Amino acid sequence: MARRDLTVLESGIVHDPANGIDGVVKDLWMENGKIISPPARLERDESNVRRIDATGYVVMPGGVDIHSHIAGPKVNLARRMRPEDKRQSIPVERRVSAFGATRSGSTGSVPSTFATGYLYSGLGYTTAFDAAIAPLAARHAHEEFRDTPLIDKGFFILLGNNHYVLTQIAKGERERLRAFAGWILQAAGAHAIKVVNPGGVEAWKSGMGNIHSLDEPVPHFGCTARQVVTGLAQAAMDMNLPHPIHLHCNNLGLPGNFNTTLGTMRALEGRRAHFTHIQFHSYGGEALDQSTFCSKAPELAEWFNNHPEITVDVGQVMFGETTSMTGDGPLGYFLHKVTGRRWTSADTELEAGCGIVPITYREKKLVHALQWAIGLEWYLLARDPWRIAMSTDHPNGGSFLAYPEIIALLMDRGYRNEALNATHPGVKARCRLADLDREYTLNEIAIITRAAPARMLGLATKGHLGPGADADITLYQPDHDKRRMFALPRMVIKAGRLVVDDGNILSDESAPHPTRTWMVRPDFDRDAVPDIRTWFENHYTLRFDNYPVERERLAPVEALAPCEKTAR
Amino acid sequence: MASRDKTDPILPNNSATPAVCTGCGCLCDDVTVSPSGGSLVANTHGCAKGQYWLELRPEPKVSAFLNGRPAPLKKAINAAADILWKSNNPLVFGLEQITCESAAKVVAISDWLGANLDTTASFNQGPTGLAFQGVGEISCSLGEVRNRADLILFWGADPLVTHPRHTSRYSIDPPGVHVPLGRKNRFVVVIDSEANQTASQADLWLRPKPGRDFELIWALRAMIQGREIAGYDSAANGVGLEELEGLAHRLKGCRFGVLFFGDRLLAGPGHHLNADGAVSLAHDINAHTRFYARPLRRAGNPMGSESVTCWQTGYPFGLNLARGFPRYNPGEFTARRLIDSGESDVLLTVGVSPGDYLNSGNANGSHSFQHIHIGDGLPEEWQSPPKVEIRTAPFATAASGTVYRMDDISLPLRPLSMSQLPDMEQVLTELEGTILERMRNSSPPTEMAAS
Ligand code: SF4
Ligand SMILES: [Zn+2]
Repeated sequence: MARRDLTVLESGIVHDPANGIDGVVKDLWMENGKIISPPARLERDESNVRRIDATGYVVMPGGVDIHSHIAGPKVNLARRMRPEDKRQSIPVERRVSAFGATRSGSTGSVPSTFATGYLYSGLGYTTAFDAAIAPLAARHAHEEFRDTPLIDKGFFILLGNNHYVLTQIAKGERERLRAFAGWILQAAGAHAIKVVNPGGVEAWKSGMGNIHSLDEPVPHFGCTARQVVTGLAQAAMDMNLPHPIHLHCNNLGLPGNFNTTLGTMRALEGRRAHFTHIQFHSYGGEALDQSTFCSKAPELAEWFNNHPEITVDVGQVMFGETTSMTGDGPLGYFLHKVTGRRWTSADTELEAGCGIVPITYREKKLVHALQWAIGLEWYLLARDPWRIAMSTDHPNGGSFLAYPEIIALLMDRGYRNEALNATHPGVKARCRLADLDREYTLNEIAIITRAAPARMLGLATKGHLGPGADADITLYQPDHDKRRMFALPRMVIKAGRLVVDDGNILSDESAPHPTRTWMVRPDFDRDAVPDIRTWFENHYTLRFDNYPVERERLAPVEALAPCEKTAR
Repeated sequence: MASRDKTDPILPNNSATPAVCTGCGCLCDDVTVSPSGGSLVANTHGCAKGQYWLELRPEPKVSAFLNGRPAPLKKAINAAADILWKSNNPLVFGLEQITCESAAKVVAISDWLGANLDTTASFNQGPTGLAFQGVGEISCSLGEVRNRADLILFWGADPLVTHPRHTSRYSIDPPGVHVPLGRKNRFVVVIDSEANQTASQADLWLRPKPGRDFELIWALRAMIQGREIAGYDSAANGVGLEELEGLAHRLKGCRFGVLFFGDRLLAGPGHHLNADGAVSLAHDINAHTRFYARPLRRAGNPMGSESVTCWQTGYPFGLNLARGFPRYNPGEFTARRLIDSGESDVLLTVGVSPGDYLNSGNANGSHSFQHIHIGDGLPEEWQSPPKVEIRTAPFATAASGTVYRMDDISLPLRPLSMSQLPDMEQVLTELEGTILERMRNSSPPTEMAAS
């Protein structure tokens, strides 16, 4: 019998909340890039078993980022617009050695592709999803993914302002909407449906301003934001997608927007949805009076705590210089007007918009400090850590490199209060952060940074360390300084292979198990395709046949297909 | 990844096959090619430029040359690797007629070598790139133009000549969702000091004196911002103030306007300010209505290779990797200066006809660098033969990969005919592998190129 290719990670302090393991010293066995049950005694003792000593280290599944902007035309435009941002940041150096070769890159708020892979990996993250790709930009996103090493990837496609979607919703064609969503998810090679400012981007592209309430009709289409949200949420559920609609509500960033957010939560009437960068949607106050700006996180969190069908990621704002980039075209223009800084926008025919603006969050500026505090309130008020994921909406609220700092703020009340005291003095009166004394445990951190996002995304092999899971593992040196502990993992293992050792990126690839792109293959009614084709050829400026991304051009694919049926 | 070696030739298949034409930045994907008498006949819907572009030409029998003499491919690749690996300050230049996949290899090679990397964008579009960094850009895909635009402004551009189907496919004629009557729903303006064919289709042609575009842009910006205009010299600029005011009025009053700027706006002194001004003008108009500004891009895939360079390094062109990471400084690391100053000892050109860009700066025909060329055959005029030349399958008809339209929309390029010449991506993959091997082993080169 052929000898098995076994690796064992020995005696680590394992935090694997998905399997109910909270800081237990145990061995983890790996084979073919997967976690396996401990083999028979005889095989365990074989001399060719690779042994990694994890004694004294905290062991967690690799981190999973549920919402980030790392690929596609929008991100690339931002790179191009901001050379100065990169010049002020430490670059990634090229390395060639007997081990392997790794590429150079630029960093800053929008790192180049190779740098993105190395930085995530160096942070102990092994999976990241891009949150906003226009279907027409899918090929571009996949191309960048091919050049983003060491992490598994996937993306969500923008459908909330798609003309075909708006038309079907206006006509009440639920079946046709579902068929279209199924078809386009496959054509783009996407993992989930994203909705950005439903109807509002289309209104902006038509020169008709924006959509500010759930029941305003979308110009030229007549359907409302409410119908777009519920229609697509239902379609995602009908198709049994692993991740429900990923929703960026109307009125992002505007005082008083919590009403819209709460209204959207109510409108779902029990349907599943993921509310992304919820921090940016939790504001009270009058639209035109900044002095009334305040937190409504407690009100929203109360609804959230009582509605298990809703999940969120935070979109934490961190102080410093970054780049705001969004599929929300009118928001980009608004930020440009507020900040007076450079503005890039790019609209995609029939599908989407985009806005990019440099931004500096200042702790002494009331609005920014309050945004920071509201993000933290969300983490502390959400009772069920399984339904809240860590995010900065990279790079919108800040870089993903800020996660260790957020972890420190959550785990250490004293540190948090110090930080709060250093911000604008007006913050405390406008939010409840000062009263919240909850401190996250290591296990809760493991939940919100890997176990929960993996579960929300429907990735059965991610975010845990049970048999069958991908052998994506991060080892941390326990440290009272949580920033240091989480910023510099001791080791990172990707698909069973050691890829980061003490901060050094060892290789560009996790071969023989290369990184993968996740996408869904839902069932859909193929009889709808001729109609979609006719519509497409009449409206787009390219041929229907050139629209779907060619499979052979993709990085290795992890397809979830077809999504299993369950009754609703 | 796609295998490039077993592409079915379409020639035996007798039906019309859809194709993507890369004859200009329009990247029309509605053309077809049919086999006829051992060659291809392209139906480019009346575009002669495209038809010429997709013609099959006799291929050279030999693909690789060392010092102007035929050589085995492998030997040529080894020689190129040795020269590049030993170079002190190599310049990698071109990336026009190249797929994104090949461009990615070129960027990788530049990274391993610590080379200067520049694309032809630094010649045509450098000013635009700089403007984007200065003020940002406001762009939209060409389908947005087709479906929504009721005002089209061509500035320093003559698309009927340079991008023959731009007007019929995207900008002037086609009916769209919000402009159902096509041409009738649009107001078309040309601003160009030189003879301009597109002007014959325009509702308004403003003809500034040569080199006066900048004055017009700034006057328009002031009008749109509602500011006083002081010192505008109608006679010197060639366009009267009232005419300009009429235009400003139209720009503000349109529902969805697009400014397409061409090479002529970007040529000459102060061009960088012109591009900056054009983008800023679009910014200003957005206070009143939706307005966009886009450059018209040339043939091949310059858009795609710039995109690849940017996502891999963070910068679109004009960069240097000598310190082990990308540094960006157009002007310092751009091809023209590195060649003129004699600072680069090795020049690697890929997917470009170097004579189109580099000859003029070095008129006496001699150069101080060793030249390696990979791509279509070099024209006779190009100085002395390169040290190493590798002729690859013709980009227009035999390449396979991804290409980008001038509006950043990607399209799949599929081979239309079989070529006996090697595939560029494979050549580059081998070259990269050979260079990496040399670096890993850090042993002296095995085979001298010049011997
Ligand atoms: S307009 Fe340009 S891309 Fe289109 S057929 Fe003519 S040359 Fe080719
Ligand atoms: Zn986002």
